[in-house]
Amino acid sequence: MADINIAKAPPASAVLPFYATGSLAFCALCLLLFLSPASLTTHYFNPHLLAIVHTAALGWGTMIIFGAAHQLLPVICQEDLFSPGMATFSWYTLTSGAFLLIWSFWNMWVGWIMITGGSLVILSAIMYLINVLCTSRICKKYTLQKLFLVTSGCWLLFTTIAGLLLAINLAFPFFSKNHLDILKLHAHAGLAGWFLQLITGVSSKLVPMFLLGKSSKEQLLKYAYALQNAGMALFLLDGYFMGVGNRVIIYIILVLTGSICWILYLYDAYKHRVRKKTDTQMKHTFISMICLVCSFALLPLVYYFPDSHQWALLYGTLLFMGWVTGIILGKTFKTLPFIVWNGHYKNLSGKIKVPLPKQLYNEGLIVWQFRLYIAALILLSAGVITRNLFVIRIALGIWLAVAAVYIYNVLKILMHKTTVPQ
Amino acid sequence: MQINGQTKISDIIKANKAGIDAIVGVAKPLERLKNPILRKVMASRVTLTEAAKMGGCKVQHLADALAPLGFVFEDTGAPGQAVKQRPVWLENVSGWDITFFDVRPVIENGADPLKEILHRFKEVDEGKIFCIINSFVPTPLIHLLEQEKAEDSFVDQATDTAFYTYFLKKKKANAVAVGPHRDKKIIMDDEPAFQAICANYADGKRKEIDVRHLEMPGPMETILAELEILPDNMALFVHHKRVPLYLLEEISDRNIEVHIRQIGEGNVKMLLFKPPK
Repeated sequence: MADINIAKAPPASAVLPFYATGSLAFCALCLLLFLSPASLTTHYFNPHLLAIVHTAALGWGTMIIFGAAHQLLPVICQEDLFSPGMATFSWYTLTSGAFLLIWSFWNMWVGWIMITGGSLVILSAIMYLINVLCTSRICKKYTLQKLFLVTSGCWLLFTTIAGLLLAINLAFPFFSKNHLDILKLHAHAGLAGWFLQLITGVSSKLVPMFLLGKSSKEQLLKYAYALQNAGMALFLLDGYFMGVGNRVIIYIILVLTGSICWILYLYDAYKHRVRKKTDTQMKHTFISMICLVCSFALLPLVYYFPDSHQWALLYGTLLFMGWVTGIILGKTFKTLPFIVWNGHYKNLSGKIKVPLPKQLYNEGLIVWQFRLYIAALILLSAGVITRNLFVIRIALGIWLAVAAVYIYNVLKILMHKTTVPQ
Repeated sequence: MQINGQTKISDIIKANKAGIDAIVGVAKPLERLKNPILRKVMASRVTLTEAAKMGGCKVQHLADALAPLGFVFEDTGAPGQAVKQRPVWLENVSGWDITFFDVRPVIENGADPLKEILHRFKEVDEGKIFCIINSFVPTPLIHLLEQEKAEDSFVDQATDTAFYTYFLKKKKANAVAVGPHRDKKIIMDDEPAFQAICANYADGKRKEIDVRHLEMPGPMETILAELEILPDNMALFVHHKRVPLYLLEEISDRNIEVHIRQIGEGNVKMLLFKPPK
């Protein structure tokens, strides 16, 4: 007999500020890109692009993930959130830290502002990790999904520490190694350690839940975990001690194989699903997965043609604007309306007709968001490959439209007033 | 066996397998009945009269062919299908506004088009028209769609082998209502209201399930499965841990009324039923 432990939903202050800030950061991201299209045509190590990438990774990706994780941890772990206070506190540190960091990158102010920003971000990663560890109680009740969540939290902490060291190194050089090599390790700890493993863990729990499809091939997830982590750890050790060299292909293959195992697991759940309707939110996820696969395919080009910056830029574009953004654009409307609905309607009673969560936002606009997102992504990729500033500008204009549509709906949900018809 | 114009081919075959050869022998177009897959699809859907039309012969010819096998034909005359006037909703409609689906190739290939028909009909906008082109009148389909999904239907025989069956898709019951609370029947009740509605479905008329011990998505799967088999006049009473929002969205396009009573944290009772007409 399964236990009937009921996890309470965390207070709104542990979740909603992250969504609000994250969606604003997405607008800021599109705006910064629009203001600096030329940064997508030169070497990736340039002030504007550093600011843009950190807006995407911290302000947008990590911010929304924190909010969603605080909401979903109790669902996945069947336990109350360990500390809502820490969750709220991590919002303050992440928001202020990301802001300082982005601002100082944009102006290339190396020094204490950048270092303070980095430190604040580390603080929020620590809070988050403690919350994940203590809510999951992974030592007492182990599941593979919890393991992914905890491990990805550790990778986030590692990434932010490496990032802080890089920021210090910019102001007070102390590395004996090449700064750009360490930057590669930092970036990939963030991408393949934090984002990839978090998304693997959460999606392997939520996608079967949304689709009502079970997969019995849990073994695939074990392989995914082992391969992704082995690939990442070896890449970091080898990259740090020997420098990033030809063996990188081995590590790419390891992480790639791990990711394929995970995608096969999701596909198996999809094949056995009960819900046959595929909604627009799910379609977002599908496109984002294609972006992930494409970026893997690009890695050899990035490695063997380091002088053609566009491959590295396209790689980053696909990962941040395609993969991470795609998932969030869709999943926002699979989580946020439900959270807000619970806040407004759960405790009402007295013969009251209530709306559905999907009626808290404009469903038609989601379809447009999806179309614009695909158009923007394709045009931006084309512009980056051909280094055509004109195409990049048009693409970034469409990205602004995507951001406008997205934030309109997010704000509509957040500002929803309880409507009770007479 | 007594047969008439309305007797299904499948009934004849069931009574005597030799009936197939007898029917097939009458007219060449009927030869497709020899193919077991086609027969499976068509025989249960086609009456003797319709078979005669398909074969381009008279019902009497078929009756004569079947007589040696012991089938006694009773001429009941026309099956009461007075020529129906072309309905108003089909007047002044341009072809662009109609979704056509020619199922003849599907049937010729031995497949059953029903699933695809239902799928395509689902895609058609409310109040719009869907047209099936078939080599016979798809009577069971008309009954099926008119039960719930279609407002009205009309059959137009273009040629001997082409029947155009038009369906007018129903608009949602209360789409006329305005405001954010149209088309849904989700009601958060207080205790007296919930008791009152439950009283309508006393013990014999409701099925009770407890999904509190199930891990997600178990509760939703269980409830959806129960709703599938729930008779129209019965209600489903559910003990749940929380208000199941994903379930409510999933069933929002079905005609199901949901009453929710949140007794406390982790204790929710629900009553789901099809509202009486």
